[in-house]
Amino acid sequence: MSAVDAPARAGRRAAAALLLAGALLPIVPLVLWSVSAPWRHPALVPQQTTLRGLRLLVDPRTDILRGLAGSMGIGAAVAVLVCLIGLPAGYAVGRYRFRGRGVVQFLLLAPVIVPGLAVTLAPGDEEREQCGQPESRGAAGAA
Amino acid sequence: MSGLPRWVRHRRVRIGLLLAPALSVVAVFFLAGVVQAVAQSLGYQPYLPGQRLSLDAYRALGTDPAVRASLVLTTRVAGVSTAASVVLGVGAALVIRGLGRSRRWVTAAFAANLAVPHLVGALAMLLLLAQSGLLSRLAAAVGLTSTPAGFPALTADRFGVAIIAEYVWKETPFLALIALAALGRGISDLQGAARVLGAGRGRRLWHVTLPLLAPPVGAGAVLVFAFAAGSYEVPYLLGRPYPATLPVVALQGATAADLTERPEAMAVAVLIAVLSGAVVALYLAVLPRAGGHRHERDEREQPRSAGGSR
Repeated sequence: MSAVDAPARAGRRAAAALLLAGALLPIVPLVLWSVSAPWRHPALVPQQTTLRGLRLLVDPRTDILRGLAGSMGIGAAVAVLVCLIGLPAGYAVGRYRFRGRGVVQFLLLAPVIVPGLAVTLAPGDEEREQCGQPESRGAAGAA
Repeated sequence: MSGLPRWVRHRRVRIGLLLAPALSVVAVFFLAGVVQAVAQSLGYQPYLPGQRLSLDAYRALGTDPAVRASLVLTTRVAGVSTAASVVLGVGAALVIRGLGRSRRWVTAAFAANLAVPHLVGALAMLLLLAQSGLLSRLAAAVGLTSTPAGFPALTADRFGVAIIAEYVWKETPFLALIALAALGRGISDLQGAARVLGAGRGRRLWHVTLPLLAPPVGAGAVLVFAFAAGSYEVPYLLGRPYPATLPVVALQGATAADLTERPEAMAVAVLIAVLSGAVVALYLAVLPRAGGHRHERDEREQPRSAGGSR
């Protein structure tokens, strides 16, 4: 590390700055729009800012906070369950050599590879009867 | 281990117990879905009278110009996204690894968008790349364009620029983190050895660093490709209705009011799964070659971990 010359270090710093800029750039308009009133085309920054959008987040009428709590709950529950179910299997596959290990590995990885869409598009008949309309499930997924 | 009953200590039973929960989940939630998708693609619709099992849906896929255009678009979007993410991700990992004290926070800031959902990422890309987006405003500000229409259409375009941009933006940090993790494991020793043996910077990169990165980054790239080829929300928001990517076509067919379109939609879903599976097979076929490096490294590390027998 002592042999690192100054130009190389400067080059790496510049490259790192470029990477960070690229990673953060798409977030900029999103943040600006969240606090701007109508913002017409040629203007580079919002002409008028407003907290209306942010206030809607905590407005009890929008139920967004309840939704957030629900999402967090689902996320936490999934994370815990996935660890409880997945870690033992990972331990078995990593620790032991046994017959059918390849097949097991394939089965465990298949859901990651095969898109969720391919296996969730087909609702069962019972579900269809409950929904009334055949398209309601897919439409909810697209929304 | 001695506290466990004797039958649990039996190796086969133990492996079975460890695997049972995960394999049950896969069987119930995944395999059942696959079977249902395949069955419906073959025309299995007990609630519609006069239906019989057939390969009609697959035959229809072959002649449907929408599906053909979609296959080209999907392969292109997933392929370009994956290739660009791999190059940028490995490059980013090498750059970040070369940093000094700032390495930690640069990694954190760079990887922050891993937490951003693709749906939000797509929205951000829309606000950035659309003809009224931030880039278009920047172009107008420096006098390159005078109207929004003067800015090239990067969203809902024929090539899929915005879709690719979103995937590259999201997946580059993912692959960079994988590469950084792989670079952390004892690579300095190997680098040092290669340097002592007279390998220059370029040869060390080509013969030491990249072979070590290939297996984990390759596996990550397969995941990226499968995701880009198989998810619908980003192309749904940033792409055209025609030609749309395969997942969007499948969704259009599956949500259509006309139930007779369902077998073809399911056939598209099966096609997506087969496309992803083909990429995995390709990776597994290439892996033994790349895996050789890993075994060599394992053997090299073993004597050292055995307590300095050398």
